[in-house]
Amino acid sequence: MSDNSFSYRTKPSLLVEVAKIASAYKGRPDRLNLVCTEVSQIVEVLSYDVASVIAREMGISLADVYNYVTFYAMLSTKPHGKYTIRMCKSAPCHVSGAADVIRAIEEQLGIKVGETTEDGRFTIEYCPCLGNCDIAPSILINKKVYGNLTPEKVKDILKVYIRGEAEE
Amino acid sequence: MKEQLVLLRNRERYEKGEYNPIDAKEYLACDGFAGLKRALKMSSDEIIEEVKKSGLRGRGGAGFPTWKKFSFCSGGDESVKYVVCNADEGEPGTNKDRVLLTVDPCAVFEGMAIAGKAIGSHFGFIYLRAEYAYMRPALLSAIESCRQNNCLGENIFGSGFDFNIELRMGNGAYVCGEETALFESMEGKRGEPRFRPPYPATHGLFGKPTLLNNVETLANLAPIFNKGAEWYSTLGVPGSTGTKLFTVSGNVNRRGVFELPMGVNLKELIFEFCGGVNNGHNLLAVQTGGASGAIINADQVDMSLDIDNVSASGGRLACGTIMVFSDKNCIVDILLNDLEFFVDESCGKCTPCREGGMQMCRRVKKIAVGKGSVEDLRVLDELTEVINNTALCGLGSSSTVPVVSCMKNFKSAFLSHIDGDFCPVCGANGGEA
Repeated sequence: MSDNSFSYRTKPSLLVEVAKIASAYKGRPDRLNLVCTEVSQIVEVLSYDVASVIAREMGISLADVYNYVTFYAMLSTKPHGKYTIRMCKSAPCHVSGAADVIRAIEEQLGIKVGETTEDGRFTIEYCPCLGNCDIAPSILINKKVYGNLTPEKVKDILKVYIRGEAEE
Repeated sequence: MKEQLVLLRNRERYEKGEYNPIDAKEYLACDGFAGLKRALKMSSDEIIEEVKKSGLRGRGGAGFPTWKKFSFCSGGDESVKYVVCNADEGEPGTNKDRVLLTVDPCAVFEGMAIAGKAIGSHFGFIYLRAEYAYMRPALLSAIESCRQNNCLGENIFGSGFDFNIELRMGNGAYVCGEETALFESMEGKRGEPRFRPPYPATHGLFGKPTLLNNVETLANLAPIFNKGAEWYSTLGVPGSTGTKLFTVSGNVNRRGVFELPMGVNLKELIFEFCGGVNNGHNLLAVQTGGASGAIINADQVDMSLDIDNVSASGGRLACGTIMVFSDKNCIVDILLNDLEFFVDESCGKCTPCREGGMQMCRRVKKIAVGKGSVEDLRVLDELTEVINNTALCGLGSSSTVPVVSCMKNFKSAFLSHIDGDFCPVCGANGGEA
């Protein structure tokens, strides 16, 4: 795909896993929801390769898979970094200083919202309410929640990820 | 004002680490599934009658009487029916369902099984939003634990009634909180709402009769059947019985999810229970019911929080969201944030919401940066009326609620932005900060 800012390939061994999941629901297009949930546990991104494997194994068209995948905010066809940072954009975080936090993240990583760092490690995205309003402003890094953030605090958190000391 | 813990009765022990919510045995030990055991001995009509007596109303948004929903789905010749638990809690400023499913998932399963018994369904689905994906392992093991202890599965407690629950994940779409969009999503399609009729009670998930309820509504069924409808109807106020989980967020000293009886006073809730506005600021506005709720000004907060009273004020109690904004914020900016959310989350199926939402956002943006005119206010009036009347689903029609209420309650703020006389928080460039 031409709009890739860096090369992204899903490992063949993972594609085999994807095929295993999808083939269990051959001829059951109604199970696409379940397949996408399970597949996104093992691969970060439903890239062209992954989508074609799902379509082939489930016996549905690639367009059906893309129709589904592109509708939902948490599924992506474009490459993401190893860590996806999702910043809550809703009102409770907005009024608790989310703008300062996102500015600090952008500054720390040297990218804007919607971009991925050149080394392919970090992606920043906006996302609707994360449901952590009691600890607003809040971010989600992959599946981990961080709250009560300030620009200083978020920089400390990111340092852990940048150094590679974060738990997988 | 004191918390009245009915749904969150095990929260304190959970927070101290004394209660393991994913172990069905621990839930059984504290009177869990007693309501289900009682319901299993009752007939479908008796269960619906009990729910009717309790006065329980839906906790997801519209406040529809729960017993009516049950009675629409019960009966009929269809042998396959579904119970769906709507855990796609997308409303900004709400996290009560996350707290409920974390603290006491078994109570939600119990409620689903009671609902299943009432309408004669043997399959339940929980549709969990993608942002809560980290809760999936715990919920799966809670379901498994219930199955092993015969609280779910085949022949529950030897009654001959079967009920199974499966967990399905959303993939990140606010519109999927709308019931027919949720069904579409579970069927592996885009989460676009369906035309109605046919209604979900006859033609829902996979074309079968389906009962869809909010997490909190279902969790309420357990105490109703355990302690009886009469006891339950003494809680809260007439017309809105029971307790309600309120998520208080924004610029207050004490934020979080609190369980209070229905009908508490909003002013007391903010200034006494939650310690008032933080950082020494004054109250600017309150939005009840999430992004799709009405924005009221500081003079209007002396109101009772029950379903009918909040609806009468032009908003809705809905999921019990109380967003508090202090005067360090600009109200036009907050409205713009709401509208940007609706533009992002509109599924694009119907024109009023897709195009109308965009136009509302554009006009408010224009006003926010000081390029608006009185003509924009007139167009906004017209747009909100058209969208409210013609949008296909609740997302579209309720996106007009904050606009209408905000323009009514903060008229002077809009006019001063049009004059280029920005509020101090916006600075010289208006909302372009």
